[in-house]
Amino acid sequence: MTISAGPRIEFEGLGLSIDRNTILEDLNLTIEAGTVHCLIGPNGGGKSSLVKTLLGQTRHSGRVAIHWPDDCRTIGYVPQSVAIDKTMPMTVLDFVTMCVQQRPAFTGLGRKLSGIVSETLAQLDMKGKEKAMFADLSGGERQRVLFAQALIPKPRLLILDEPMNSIDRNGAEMFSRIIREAAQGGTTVIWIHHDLAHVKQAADAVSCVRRKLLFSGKPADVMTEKNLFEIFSAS
Amino acid sequence: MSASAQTVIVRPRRNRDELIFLALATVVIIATAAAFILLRPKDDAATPLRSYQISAFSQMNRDALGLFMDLYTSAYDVEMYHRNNSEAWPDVATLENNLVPPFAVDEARANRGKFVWTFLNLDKDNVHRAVYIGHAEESSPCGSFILFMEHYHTPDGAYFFGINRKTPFNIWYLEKGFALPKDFSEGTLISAGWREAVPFKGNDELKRLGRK
Repeated sequence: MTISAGPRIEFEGLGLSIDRNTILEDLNLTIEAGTVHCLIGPNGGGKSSLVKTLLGQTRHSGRVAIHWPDDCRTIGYVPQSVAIDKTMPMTVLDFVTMCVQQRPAFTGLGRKLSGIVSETLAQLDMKGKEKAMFADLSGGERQRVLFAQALIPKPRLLILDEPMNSIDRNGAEMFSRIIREAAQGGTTVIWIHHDLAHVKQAADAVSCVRRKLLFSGKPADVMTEKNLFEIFSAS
Repeated sequence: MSASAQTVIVRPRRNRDELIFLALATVVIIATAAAFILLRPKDDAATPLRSYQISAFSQMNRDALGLFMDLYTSAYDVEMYHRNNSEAWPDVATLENNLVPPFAVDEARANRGKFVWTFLNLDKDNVHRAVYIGHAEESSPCGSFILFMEHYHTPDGAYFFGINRKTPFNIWYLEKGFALPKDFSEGTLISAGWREAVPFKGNDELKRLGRK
């Protein structure tokens, strides 16, 4: 397997205001290629806004640069949650099809992608649930499907916004293993995470965001009791 | 870094393209709708009067028009009664008792010259016909009317009311003089001076409103 590195990402002087509220202010951060970079911080600190900025979904100021090493520029994104009407007649396969191919989902999943879709759903223990209604899935199963769509086609940049919500222990271990494998394959992973103990184990680098960048570095160096106490006690 | 390496600057989201697309889509929808309105066939709704027809709204006086409208509305009740009562037509007494205008004995009937109504059942095999003939006993601002109910049943139970007919009835009007017709065929009625009264056509309505 050819290991193709993911991108390096730079935020320089990043600012973001929504309805006169300052969400991010003069944030400078570099995310190295092929690393698992966790974002931590109190709720409302701007972590999700930071990744949305990276996806080009906000009216930010400052400079956001993605340094791609080659032409393969696939980004996988797992949102925090997805609101689906209970009555929406959409199967798991329809949902994944809608996310991974450009042509309309009602035309069916293309042959090129059908193999990797089956493989990825099986990898996430969703084999046999392709025809299940997406709206009928449990919270954990939905997260698995959301995760699956982000892995197809194989991403070089994987952005995860609290993917472990509603996930049981087995599922969390499975997610962690897949994320680690992706990073080992060269993918850059940006992971918003609340489980600080898990961040210490899983992350190559960690950044704490509360409007500004409070600290960034290797978990062992920056996730000191003092740092964490100051941040989370003040929120 | 390889030759294909590239730095992509993430631009702030802008709504400009979306706005332009939305504005264009709006213009296209409005233009299409306007084209449909402007190019629609304008005279479809208008059916010219035939030589034996009169326009109730423009050729009848106010009293006759009132009676025509009562008859036109009640004809549907008569038809419904017929369907709901094993294909039996309501006679004049039934209509009077049910206070169906213009058969009901009320002030309007008195003002119209005490109209007398006669009912004839002309059912024959699969052709169901009934005639309600009305004329004034006293001096009246109205002429005489015939409500002619007619429909057919096919052996397989289908129901229809004739080619080129939009209603299961027609109303005939004789402005002056009254004599019971020999029969109720169109030819006989026309030669006896009766005219089929029809309500406004779409074209007449436009003219009346001064839009044409």
